[in-house]
Parts: sequence; structure tokens; C-alpha cells
Amino acid sequence: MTDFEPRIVAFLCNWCTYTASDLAGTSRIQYPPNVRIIRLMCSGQLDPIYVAKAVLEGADGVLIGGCHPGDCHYQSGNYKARRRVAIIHQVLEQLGFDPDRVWLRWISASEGQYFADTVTEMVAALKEKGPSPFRRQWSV
Amino acid sequence: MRGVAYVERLEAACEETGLAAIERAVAEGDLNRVVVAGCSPHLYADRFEALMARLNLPPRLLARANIREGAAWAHIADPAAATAVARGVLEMAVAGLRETPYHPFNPRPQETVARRVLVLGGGLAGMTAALTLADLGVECDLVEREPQLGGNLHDIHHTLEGLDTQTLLASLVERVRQAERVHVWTEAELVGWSGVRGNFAARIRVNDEVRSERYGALIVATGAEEATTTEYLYGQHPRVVTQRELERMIAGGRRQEAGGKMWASCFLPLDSCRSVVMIQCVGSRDETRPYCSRVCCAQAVKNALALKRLDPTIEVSILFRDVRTLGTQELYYRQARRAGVRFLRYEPPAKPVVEADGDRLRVTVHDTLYDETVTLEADLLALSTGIAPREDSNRALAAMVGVMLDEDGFFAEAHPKLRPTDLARPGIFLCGLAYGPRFVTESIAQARAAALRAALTVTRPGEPRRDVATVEADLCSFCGLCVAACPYGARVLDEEERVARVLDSLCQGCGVCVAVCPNGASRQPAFEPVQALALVDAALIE
Amino acid sequence: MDGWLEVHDSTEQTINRLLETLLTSGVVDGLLVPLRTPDGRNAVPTLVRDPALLERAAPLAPVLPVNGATVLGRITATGAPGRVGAVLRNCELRTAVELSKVQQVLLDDVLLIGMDCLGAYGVEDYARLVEEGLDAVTPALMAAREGGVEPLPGYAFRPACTMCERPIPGVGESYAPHIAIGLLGVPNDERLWVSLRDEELGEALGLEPAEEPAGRIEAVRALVAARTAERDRRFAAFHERVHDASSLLAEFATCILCQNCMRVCPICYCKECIFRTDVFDHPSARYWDWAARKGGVRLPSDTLLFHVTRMLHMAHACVGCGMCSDACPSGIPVADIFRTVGRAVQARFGYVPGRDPAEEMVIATFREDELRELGER
Ligand code: SF4
Ligand code: SF4
Ligand code: SF4
Ligand code: SF4
Ligand code: SF4
Repeated sequence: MTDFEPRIVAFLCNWCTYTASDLAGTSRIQYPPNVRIIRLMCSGQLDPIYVAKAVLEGADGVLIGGCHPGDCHYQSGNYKARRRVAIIHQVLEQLGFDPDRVWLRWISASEGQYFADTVTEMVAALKEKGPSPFRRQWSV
Repeated sequence: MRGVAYVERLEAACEETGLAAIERAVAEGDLNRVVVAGCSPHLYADRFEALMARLNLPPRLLARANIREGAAWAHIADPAAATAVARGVLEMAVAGLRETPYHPFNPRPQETVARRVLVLGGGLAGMTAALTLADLGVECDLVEREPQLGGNLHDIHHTLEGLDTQTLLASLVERVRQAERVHVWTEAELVGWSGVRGNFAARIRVNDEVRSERYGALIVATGAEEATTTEYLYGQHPRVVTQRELERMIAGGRRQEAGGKMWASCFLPLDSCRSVVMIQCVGSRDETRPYCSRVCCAQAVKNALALKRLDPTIEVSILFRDVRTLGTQELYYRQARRAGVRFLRYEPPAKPVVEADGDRLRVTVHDTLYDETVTLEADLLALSTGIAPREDSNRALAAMVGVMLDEDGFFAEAHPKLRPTDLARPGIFLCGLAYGPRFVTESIAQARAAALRAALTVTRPGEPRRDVATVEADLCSFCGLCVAACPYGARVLDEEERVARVLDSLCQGCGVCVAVCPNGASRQPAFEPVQALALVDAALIE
Repeated sequence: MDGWLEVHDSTEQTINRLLETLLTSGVVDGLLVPLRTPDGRNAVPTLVRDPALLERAAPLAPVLPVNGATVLGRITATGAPGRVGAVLRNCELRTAVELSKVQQVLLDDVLLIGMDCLGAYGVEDYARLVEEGLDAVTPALMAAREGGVEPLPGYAFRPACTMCERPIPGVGESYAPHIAIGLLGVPNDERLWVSLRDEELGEALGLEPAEEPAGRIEAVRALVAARTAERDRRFAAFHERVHDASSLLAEFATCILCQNCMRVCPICYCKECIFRTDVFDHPSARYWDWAARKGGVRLPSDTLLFHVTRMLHMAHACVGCGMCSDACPSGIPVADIFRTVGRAVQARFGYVPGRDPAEEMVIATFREDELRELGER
């Protein structure tokens, strides 16, 4: 699996984790190029169907980034996202799909380094796991 | 890439020439969607919005591909990877746009803007902001928690540069009281807040009465306080004071309440002080309070010079970590050195040690400049404890009006370089110590800037709202999940028509209602589900 | 108030007379109750206003053509002009509770009438046994007296019924209806065990107060235990079949994406499913894009996405009614799948669908102090 490069779809809250990813860029903090970012206004805007879609279309990992508990720009969106992620994990697990390919992380706007570290860590973890079983699967 | 009709390389898309080039290309090619590949969408959003307005296209048909912060800079060490990511980001932007419905979304115009501003906090910053607003012809309410106006300014007697702050305070209070457009409410408190820029609804408690009022903007100028400490015998030895207390003593005042104990009985005549030691960075720049309070060094230099002016024979020693006098304040630092003020540098963990020596004090410090341990006898020890946020009340206020605090507990601005007086929520502005430690002159400048921003907000006609959520009535099953999910009470169930409705003026555009609605009856025009799903597909292109 | 209701004539007639009393005395203005179709091959939920029609009422007919809570929604959601008495199986009762949380059923003006569910057959099976001249009710009541629930020889209950561990209204984690009629573990040809929410009704119905007989308690316990065992067996069988991506694809290999399972599912209350809206109305080029990326694309597309999304949307509230399995033309055990997944989601949040209308749906709420491990490194 040495030349396997995981592909991560990241759903990031505009106010925190997306800003953190910007900050990582502005600060030239390097992280692996395996992540593709989709900006949401709030982690609470994450419709579970987006995650299902990413998983079934063959994303090796899905990263969801929101504001730390208590810091949601919209008061409580992150708590709602957290519940949704818990549901997603349960459903995926029951269907025999490794739920640990879907990560939720609280990363504030100032945590550029933490964002980069998270991507690095996730890429390493996914390399361990190998490609998603749905990669290039035509019959989903 | 499918759908791409025209590509042009621009020097700076966000600048006049770049924007003009886009305008020309769209007009000539009869194009209807635009991708700008460049910097983060957090920058220059308004310019591109204006561009789309000029082009008579719905703003959602312009996408920003963040290939600078998100690709070029993040992978600067690996150009091939950076290029691949940039390409991917561009594919996504194009794919998302391709699926974005063209039909122009006609935003509903906002209700008329309330031409009134609420200023929270009647200190230096709040009063300055209120007066600036009044000068600009804008009505404002100035709400102060304490019985009198002035805040921290009561404890500052002059600035390092020699500005007489007490005269300033008196004249400010006087002008505020005189100003027709400034309505002062003391012993008052904000207890409720909702709405959006141009149209906020506030509830303010004055005495036991709650007043309701509409505002177009809010200025947060709630200040901060001098930090307190338990280090260096503070609160235990009568000759240990804070810089602010020293300033009051120099100004002929007495020590007042400190550390919860009344020290009023302890009148310390300055003329009994032959030797004064100051310790900088007390309880600052450590784990609990990692930030530098910025003003302490200048404050210490200011007080040292004042002491020397009173009596040049008073010995003054300042134990510092780094002297951070900013800009021209450096001149005063040099002046202090010339006046004989001694500067000794310590470095944690080797902090100075303070012992009581009867009525006096003994301070031992390892001076890292000369690498020697020095013992100083002191009649008075002044501690630079720095400035601390009013954390609890800041947190409560931030939660109420929906903005964020930084990790130190001060209010966090929307963007430090581009929008330094804006809080993250449109229509809410910030100035003074609530934003973090700053000097009197800085507070004044910032208060004026905040007032100007607020005045612009309330005098401009209401902008159409593009971020509000909408409901596809044909799809809505009246389940109420969105109503339960909306954190702002911006959703209601219309029993008559059996559909959910959005109260535009309360909606903040967070999209929580969209995520909870199972079948996409709840929508955000700027981020339709088709777009999201197309982005996911594009994100997986290898 | 609990007690005995004397049986005159037959069990079914006694129940029908009770219903008639409710209607004629004005306790309710209408009744939602299964009536035998004129040919007798089905028993369909009917809103009855004329007491004379109750002659055809078949509250015990072991067939479940639609989920009664869905139709209860139709006659209450936008405001019923009167009070309706709804005769529901326990899975339908659970459904009504869930749907009331999303404004699809209005329980305010409903008198809920439940009875021990002795299992039901698929619509086709039921029609066949009627055609064969078999009586499905009497033997079931006989077996119930002894505490047993058995299908007719040569027939099988709907799979969902065999794994339904909450067949008794008001017992365990079931919502208590206004009137619960007990058939199990009691001499149901002589008297019926009735539990009422309020006393007054007891007098009107001529109820004779009593302690719950030990035999009934034992029979209920045994039935619940047997059903729970079957449920767990089916959960385990599902996990044995489906444990990775290829076995999951195999589970749905025969799916023709007719979406019947969604249409009949009462918890999929949407006016129109998202899979039937413009969101999935892809331009042709999109299919070509997918085919280019993955080598090919199964059509119609998004089969698995449809099922997984449905799970994400409603499995937390799946009441286990089995309508989905009944409706699947390809014989996919949809209810087994959804119950297994649903059970895991429900367990995570301690949520029990149908337990209590006041219990907030999993996706409708959150707690600040829950799930703390999520989001942290
Ligand atoms: S969640 Fe969707 S379907 Fe339900 S009321 Fe809101 S908009 Fe309508
Ligand atoms: S939940 Fe919806 S209606 Fe409420 S503020 Fe957010 S976007 Fe607006
Ligand atoms: S998924 Fe099947 S068993 Fe569950 S509620 Fe829907 S129809 Fe009933
Ligand atoms: S699958 Fe989801 S969108 Fe479709 S009907 Fe069910 S709940 Fe509604
Ligand atoms: S009813 Fe059966 S065939 Fe039809 S969509 Fe559902 S699982 Fe597929």
C-alpha cells in the first residue's frame, strides 16, 4: 500500500476550521495534499447525505471540522453536527463500513497548526487502513 | 473542464483592472458563471459581490477557488502537489457552478434599517464612539453598567505622552451629557438581543424596568479590568501595590479596595518612599494568561518618570522580561534610563523573590543582562499585573449577541487586518479594552473607526438578504424539525398553509435548518444540495 | 383502571360492541377501524361514522395492508372536525406516537384503542387463506388463551411480526393507549382484560375492576422473550450476511430502486422524498462523468445512497412495522436491515421510538454534555 494516496473530503465550518485551513496556508504550515475542502457556513449545515455520498462515491476519509463546543458561531450548530456524526458512525458501522474513516474535529480559527496536524494524522491513519472499499465501485 | 468557455490569467482579480477584465470577458463572451481562482473567499467578498451586481448576475454564480491559501501556500514545498491540489480545487469550483441553477434568485429586500446604534459601555471607548456617532448625525443609546460614566479612565491620570486624561474624562462626560443624540443609561444592562444587521431587537434593563428598542448596529465597548494577583505578597504587605494603584498614589490618591480587602486605612505617603521597585509581566505571558498586556511597560515607564519628576532622588528599579514600549514610546524608555531608572532583566522560571523586611521589602532578582544576583531594598513594590478580560460577562454577552471570544477571553475581531473593528457578525463592532489591552490613544482611534462603521451601517439603505434560508413549499411536510433546529427562532410553522416559514430578519443564514430537513424542502439559495453533491463528486476526481 | 370485560357471543363481537358504544354514546365522533372488504379478502382501515357499518369491523383480522398511523395522519393532521377512536396494532400505535412528533398525526383528538397483537399475515397470504375458507381468528384466540401465538399451518406471519418484541399495548416500553384490550393469557372467549387511561370510561363500558391475572403476566413475558430472541437472531443473521462493502452491495443487488420501501414506510413522512426531487434529477453529462471516473455506473444510479440516506433520515425512529419488507418486490428483508441499523442508533441515544410522544426525536434535539469523545483528538 506504499503508493496509496488517500483522498479526504473535508466539510469545514467557515468560521473556524476553514479559517484555520487558511491560516495554515498563510503561515506556510505544510500538510499532505490529500484533502479537498468544501466550505460550509457551519458544521451544523452538514446534511448527512453529503457524507453518505462521499463515502459511497469512494472517499477514503471524510473530515468534518467545527468550532469547539461552546464556541459555535451560530450558538449550537456544532452540537447538532456532533449528533449527526454519531448517527452516521452508527449507521456505517452496522453496514460493515469502518466508521473511523469519518472524523469529526473541533478546530478553531486560530488552530492552523492543529488543522495541518489533523490532516497529517488522518492521512497516516487512512494509509494504514488502505483504500475505501467503495473506491471506483460502479455498482453502488 | 466541461462547461468552461473562457480562461484568462489576471495579475490581481480583486483589483480594478482585474475586475474590469472579468466584466469585459463576461460581457463579450455572453458568459453566465464566473470562477475566480486565487485567494481565500474570506478576502474581498464584497468586491466580487459588487462585480456580480454590475454584471446583473446572481452572486451565487461566482465561485472562488482557493488555490492560494488552500494550495500554493499550503504545499509550498512541493510544487507538483500544490499544482495538483489547485487543479482539484478548480475542478470543484467549476463543478459546483455547473450545477448551480441559473434562475435568478430574487432576494427579498430587507425591512427598513433602524437608524439607531447601541453602544455598550460608557468608558473612554464607548463615550468616544457615542460622540462620534452623534457628530455624524446618528442617534445612539449609551448603556453603562456602573452608576457613573468613565470606566477605567477614572484610574488613568495621564498618558506616557503627557496627555491629561482626567481633564479628558471630565470633558468627555460633559460632552456626552450635552449631546442631544446621545442617550445615556447608567446602571443599565443588555438582557436580550436578536435580529440581523440593520434590524436588531434589543432588550435593556434599566433599574427594574426592561426597555425594548430596535437598533441598526451595536458597538461593544465593555472594557476590561486591571488584573489582580496573589504573587509577590500582593494583598499581604501594605507596601505592595499595582501600577494603577501607584498611579493613583502619585496623583495624590489613596489606595482603595484591592484583592477584596479594604486597604483604605493604609495611606502611604509617597514621600516616605525612597526606593521603588517595579516588577513587570506579573501573572502575564505565562500559562494562564499567555498574552502580553502591551500597556504595562509604558505604564511602568510613565510612573517611573513621574516619580523621578516628583523627586529625582527616588530610586526606581524596573524588573522586566522584555521592554515592549511600542513605536515612539521607545523615546520615553530612553528618557527613563537617562533619568536614572534602573532596568534589570529576569527570565522565568527564575522570577524575582520578594520578602517582607518589617515595614519594608527586600527583592532579590537574578539579572540576566549582567548575570548577577541583585538584592534591592524597597519602600514600595509596584506590580504590573496587566489587563484581564471580564471573562464571565464577556462570555455571556458574546453568547447573547452571537460573536466569539479569542482564547484569552477578549472579543475576537472578524479579521485582524481587513476588518479590525468588526465582530464576526455583521452589524456588530468593537472598540476599546474589550478587544484586548490597548493605549488610551489607540482606544480613541478605534472607537472613532467603530462609530464610523456603525454609522455607515445604519445610514445605508437595507441590503437585500442573500443568505436567508428559504422553504420550497411544495416539498415541505410541516414536520417542524427546522423550527426546532433554528437557533434564532427564525422559523415558524404556518398552520394555515402547513408549511414552514422563515422570518428573514431573524435568520442568520447558518443552514442548520437545511441539514435537518430530510427532503431538501429547506434551502439556502447560495448553497443548494445539488451544488454540494456536485462538489463531493468533483472532490473525488483523481 | 384495569379490569374484566364480559364476552357475549364472540370475542370479536364484544370488541365491536365496545366500539359501537363509543360511537353511539358520543365518546368519539368517528372510528378508524379495519373493515372487511365486501369480498372479505382483506381488512382495510376505514373511517366509520355510521355504527351500522361496524358489522363488518374486523379488529382482529390478522392482516396489515397499510400502516394505520399513516391514515390516522390523513384524518387528523390538518384538524379533525371531531374526535376519532383509532383501533391500532401496537406497531401502528408506535408509529402514531412518532408521527405526532413531526406534526403528521395530531393526537389531541384521538382516542387510541390498542389490543394484543397476535401477529399478522402478508396481504397476499391473508387473501389466500380467506379464499381457502380458513378462519384465522378463532385458532389464534384459542392459542392466545394458553399464552401461545402461532400462525396457521402452512402459513407464516410477516417477518416483522415474528421479531416484534412490543406486541402488547402499554406493556414494557410501549405507549399506553386510552383503551388496551388484552387477549393473551386470559380466557378470551369469556372475558377480556382491559386497561383504561381514565376511570370514567370504565363505568360506561361496564368494566369489572380486578388485579392483572398472573397467567397473563407470565404469557406476556414469555411472548416478549420469544420475540426478542427472534429479533436478535435476525440482527445476528444480518450481520453475518452483511459485514463489508461487497456483502452490503450483495444485500441490495436485487433492488430495482422502485422506492416502494420508502413510499410505504410511515416514518418516511416526506411529502416527496429527496430522491424524487430535482436534487437527483441529474443532467445526462453527470452520468458520463461518473462512468468516466469509476469505469461505469449502475443505473438507475444511487441505489445504495438511497438506502443509506433513508437510514440516516429515519432509522432512529424505525418502529419495526415491516411495511417496507412487505412492499419490496425483490424480497429484500428491508425491515430486518432497518431495524438492525435503527436499533444501534436508538441505543446510542437511549431513544425508544413509540414510547412517549413527549420524548424528543433524536435528530430534533441535542445535549451539550453528550458524546464528548466525538470531535476530540
Ligand atoms: S424540516 Fe423541512 S419539511 Fe420539515 S417543516 Fe422544515 S422545511 Fe418543512
Ligand atoms: S436555522 Fe435556518 S432559518 Fe434559522 S438562522 Fe439558520 S439558516 Fe436561518
Ligand atoms: S423502515 Fe420499515 S419497519 Fe421501519 S418504520 Fe419504515 S416501514 Fe416500518
Ligand atoms: S428517505 Fe429521507 S427524504 Fe426520502 S422520504 Fe424518507 S425521510 Fe424523506
Ligand atoms: S422496495 Fe425493495 S426493490 Fe424497491 S427500492 Fe426498496 S429495497 Fe429496492
